[in-house]
Amino acid sequence: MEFTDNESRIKFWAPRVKSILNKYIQQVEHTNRPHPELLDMLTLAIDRFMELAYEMGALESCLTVSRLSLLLAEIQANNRKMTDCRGEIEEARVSLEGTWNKEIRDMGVTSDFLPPGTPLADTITDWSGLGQDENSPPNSQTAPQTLEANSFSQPPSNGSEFNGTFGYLGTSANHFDPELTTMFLTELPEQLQQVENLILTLEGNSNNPEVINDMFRILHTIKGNSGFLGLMEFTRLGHSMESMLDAIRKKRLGVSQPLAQLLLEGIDAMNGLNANLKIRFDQLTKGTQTGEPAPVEWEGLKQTIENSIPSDS
Amino acid sequence: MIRLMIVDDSMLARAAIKKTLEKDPTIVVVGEAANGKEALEKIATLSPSVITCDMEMPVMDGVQTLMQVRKLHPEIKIIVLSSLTQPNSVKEQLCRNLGAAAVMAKPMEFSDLHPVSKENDLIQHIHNSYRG
Repeated sequence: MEFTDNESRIKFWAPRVKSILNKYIQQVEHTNRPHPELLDMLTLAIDRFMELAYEMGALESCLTVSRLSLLLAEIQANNRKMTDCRGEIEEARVSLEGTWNKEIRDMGVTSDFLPPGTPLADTITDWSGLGQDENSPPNSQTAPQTLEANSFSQPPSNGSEFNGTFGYLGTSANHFDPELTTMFLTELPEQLQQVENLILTLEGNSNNPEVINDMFRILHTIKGNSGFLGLMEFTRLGHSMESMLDAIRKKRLGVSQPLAQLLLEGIDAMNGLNANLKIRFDQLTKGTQTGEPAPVEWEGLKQTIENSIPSDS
Repeated sequence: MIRLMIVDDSMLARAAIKKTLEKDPTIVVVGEAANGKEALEKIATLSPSVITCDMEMPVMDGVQTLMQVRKLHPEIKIIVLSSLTQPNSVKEQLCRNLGAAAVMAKPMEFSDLHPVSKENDLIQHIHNSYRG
């Protein structure tokens, strides 16, 4: 089977592998001492299915099958008896049916991707097309990044860590790491520029998940990096912007002009924080005052951004 | 000596993790990779026994890396460093079920955890996974 793109490859194989997987599970369920070969085939089907389901973004299905995989490993290692596990296997199979159907329905697909006249999945014996296509690079674009950003426990605004100035640089210079901070300062302007460019492409192009994913990833990196350095302003503001993008990705929030404006203001604020960070950095490393830090109203903005995100229902 | 590879798409994160681990003379960082695909290419020559792996990465993310490594190099232990926002998210549970030796929040991600204790946690996890 030749595929022009990764997405059609996944959509072709996922339901078929799911069907094969289901068949093997049922066979295993009905045998007291499953043939080792059957267990091997089941393991293979489990691995393939998890890879495909994950790439599709069917995370719950993937998780259900990973539990089954753990159980199977126990049986294969003779830590547990098949007869004792039957209930759990049955449970996993039923649970997989439910989550899979729900997840593909949520993706707007109802027919299991199978066009009429498609041969039955269990007649497929050639597994070779299942692996990563050597010619097309593993594709991050089609791997939906489904993050659960909503009930994130906020980094607490703890007075000792955070006092409105740079957490580390302002309050505890003994933890200050010039080398890592230099790297942060070097990477940041370009990252911010990239996000800004992406925001500007949003307007004519509001439904492009790749743009949202790219922005999400860059902001996620900024959040993570600033977290390492204890620069909590970036971490907290970045987190709010990331949550907004996550809500867009999950279609709980639609792209609009005011929303793009908020993201742009977020980038502006980060640019301002960046300028202040540079001044603090020069002060700490060279002992020279290179300018007056200008106050950046990031906290109110963070609140506004957070308020614009509907809570998960 | 524990041969360790750092997989993270952020150069800064890699440098920060490396710095943390330099405090332990029994751990040697044998190499770095910017994503799972690069890591898989380097494993043969670097032969790490433990890998610290970021969750969110372009090309091949932490979960996908784990799926491949457990299949191709089941002897290698993986510690997933996640800056994902929700503790015990589906992805984190998935990592545990896929055999991650540990799933921990990236240092300083939550400011209520003191950085020093997090560094020690990471070193402890590496030792535990190596022994286990």
